[in-house]
Amino acid sequence: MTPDLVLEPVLRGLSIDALYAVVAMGLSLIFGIMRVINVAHGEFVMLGGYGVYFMWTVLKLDPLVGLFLLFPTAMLFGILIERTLVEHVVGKPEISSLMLTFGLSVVIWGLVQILFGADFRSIQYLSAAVSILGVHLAANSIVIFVVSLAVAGGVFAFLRLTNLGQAIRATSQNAALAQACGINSRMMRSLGFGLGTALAATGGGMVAFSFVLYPQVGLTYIGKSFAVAVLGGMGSVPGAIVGGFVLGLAESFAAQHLTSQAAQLISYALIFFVIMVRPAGLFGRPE
Amino acid sequence: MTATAAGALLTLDGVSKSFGGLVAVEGLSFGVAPRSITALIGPNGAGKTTVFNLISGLLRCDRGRIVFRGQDISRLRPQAITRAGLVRTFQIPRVYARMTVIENLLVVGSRTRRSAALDLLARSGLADVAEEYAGDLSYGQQKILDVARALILEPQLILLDEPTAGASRLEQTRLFELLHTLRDAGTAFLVIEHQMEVVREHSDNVVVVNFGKKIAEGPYGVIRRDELVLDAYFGR
Amino acid sequence: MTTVGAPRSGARAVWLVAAAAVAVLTVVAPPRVLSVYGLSVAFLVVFYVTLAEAWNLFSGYTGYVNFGYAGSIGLGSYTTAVAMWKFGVSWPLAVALGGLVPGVLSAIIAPALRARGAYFAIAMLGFAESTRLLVGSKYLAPLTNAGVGIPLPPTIPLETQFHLMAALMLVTVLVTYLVAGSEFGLRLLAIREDELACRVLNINVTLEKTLALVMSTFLAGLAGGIHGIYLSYIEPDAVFSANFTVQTMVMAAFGGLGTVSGPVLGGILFTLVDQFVTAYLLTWHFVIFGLALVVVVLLLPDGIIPRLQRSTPRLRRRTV
Repeated sequence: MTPDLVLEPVLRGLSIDALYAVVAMGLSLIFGIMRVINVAHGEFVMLGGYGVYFMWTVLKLDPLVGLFLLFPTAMLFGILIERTLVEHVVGKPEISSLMLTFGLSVVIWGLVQILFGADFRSIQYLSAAVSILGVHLAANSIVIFVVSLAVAGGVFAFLRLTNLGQAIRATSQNAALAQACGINSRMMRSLGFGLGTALAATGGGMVAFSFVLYPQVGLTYIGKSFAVAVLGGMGSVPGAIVGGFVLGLAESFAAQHLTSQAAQLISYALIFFVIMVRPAGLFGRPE
Repeated sequence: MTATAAGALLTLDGVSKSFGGLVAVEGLSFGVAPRSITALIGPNGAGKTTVFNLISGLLRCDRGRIVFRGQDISRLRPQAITRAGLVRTFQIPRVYARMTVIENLLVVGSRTRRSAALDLLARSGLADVAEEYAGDLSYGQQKILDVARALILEPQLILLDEPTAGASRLEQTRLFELLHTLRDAGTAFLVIEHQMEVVREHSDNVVVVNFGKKIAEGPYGVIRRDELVLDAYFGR
Repeated sequence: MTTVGAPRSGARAVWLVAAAAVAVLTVVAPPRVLSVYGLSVAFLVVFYVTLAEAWNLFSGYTGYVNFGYAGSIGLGSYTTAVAMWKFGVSWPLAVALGGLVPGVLSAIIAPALRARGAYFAIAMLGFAESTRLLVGSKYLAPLTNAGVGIPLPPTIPLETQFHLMAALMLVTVLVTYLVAGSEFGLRLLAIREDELACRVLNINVTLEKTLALVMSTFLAGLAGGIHGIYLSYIEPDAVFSANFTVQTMVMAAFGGLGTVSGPVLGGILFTLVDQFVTAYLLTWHFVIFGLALVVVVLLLPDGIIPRLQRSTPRLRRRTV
């Protein structure tokens, strides 16, 4: 294997790895704190993408400015959804949360399709190629890599270093105990869900200028997020970052050396086999 | 009565278990005689429930042996231990909430006759609620149902984790009347119990543990005067 | 299997005769009275009732959410189609194979998969999606015609298709009824209620779970096989559609999980409403479906039948 055949998929993969990691971090955070699999996570990605897209086409806002505005907006949206809907299924059997969030996802993409049509949309932004170590990459992929790392690092630091972040992690590990220590676990769930939504939307905002958007684009990202979160251990935020890079690399290699079909297959096959070998995920602890 | 007394139904021999750096049970040895009610007592956090988890196979011992009817059961899975004739209940009753009381019994014994289940319910004072959902029962009734469900398997030894906690006076009395009848018919019980008057009135033998070690063993009248027990347990 | 709480023998005979009459009418009558459109709607009704009941047989009773149900249905369709198109197998045998393949696969998967709760659900989704992608990939192209799909000659009339699917529905409901009344059924419910207590009380959780999943996916595979013939053109995205899984879940949950009649009720209601909504409100179809899901979860979390059982003790028989 010549160096190019290794280096090229690695470098090409890095930005998509980072994007997966950001999105999956949100899914994992939500699962950790609420024990709810958010099937609508892909739709939050899609909504973030449309948000940045329309800020660019209607308000002429630079996508990076758009991303900046998107984060708090998406967080508020997530808190609203948590308060009105998802809070009702916390602690209920899996089927309730799966059905509720699936219903939510269908409503969201259904409405987007009615409002904006099923057209493919994307933003041409920093798409000129730059050469790094002899590999040609689009400039926006470097932007994605940097922004993803900054956001992931920021959220990670928030959870580790601030009091509020510690309270969220405490609720995630043992809600009853956290409540006994005076933490308002209901508020922590809202915050956690809001943060998870904001992470998904940020990922989607970057999809707007690197790939294409359409109402059902969320389907692609929900599958990847599941795979990344399972790899890293559901509920583990640092695990999601590691999982994102593992999956992204595996896909890049498969796409380069096998076929794109094999690349698609990898994420789902990984989900199944990882859970079979380690019932609580690769780095997860059994409950 | 010594720990490894010949003729004991269940014998723990130097059983130890730690979680990470925390030693929960250390070198514990005691026996449970057939046709007896043995109380396992000790302060909170003494390791009583861990002992139950070890005996019933939910946890594996780090060291030591657990012998039941002459067979080493310390490496067996929970189902195999149940099949061997040793059943447990939990501190918080684990009833099947969305199944009726009678179904809670019928599900367990593969050849359980409905009449046998109804008879047991009558003796446990649960006959009136046989067709109610178990989740709708009072806490005390759920605890009794948990015990009744263990009884239907007709085991030789039953481990009861705080059967009286949360039960009313009447329910407690009824439960121990049942236990006495069953003991006289040949069943043995190992009971975690916090209420001293229950231990005094109903136990044949008492094992006292603290910090995962046995500090005394004997009939209630004897251990009541033991210095170590007075210090550790009665908070003298 | 012994039946728990059986009604008295005189009443029982009357019930049996009535049930048999209804069963025969269900299979025989619709093709004679309905238009072609009406019959295809009726076909979908019996198809979805079969799916909902078979899903319920595993997930409703054990509480393990089979989120990869579409995998078994699609595998059933493909096995039947490949057997007929590639190997010229006669259709009855091909349909039987369609049930066998997902059934046997489940027998392998269920014991290997020790995961619970959310992990089990996601693992099953991973299994179903892997199967869909694999069937549509070039790797299996010689067998499956890859993503292009398989055309099936329309030699079997719609009437026959309906008879088959209606009979399968009756078998599925009957099997569920028998399981519900048996000790096996009670043990499945016990697994749903408290798995740890089951392990301590000498219930072989893995064995019971595997048996139920095999039965459930075998029936789903048969339904998928017949549905494949009904579609007359098989392609991965159509027969492995995750919508099968979710629609089935909604129908079963709306009627009541862990009951015999709940999924039947839910299946009939949802299929009919879905036909109406699709016909008259095409663009809003998905939004309304999604809203229905949310409303069911929030307002009727236990489903209709368990709600009735709560208020009417007389209905608290497992075989309801």
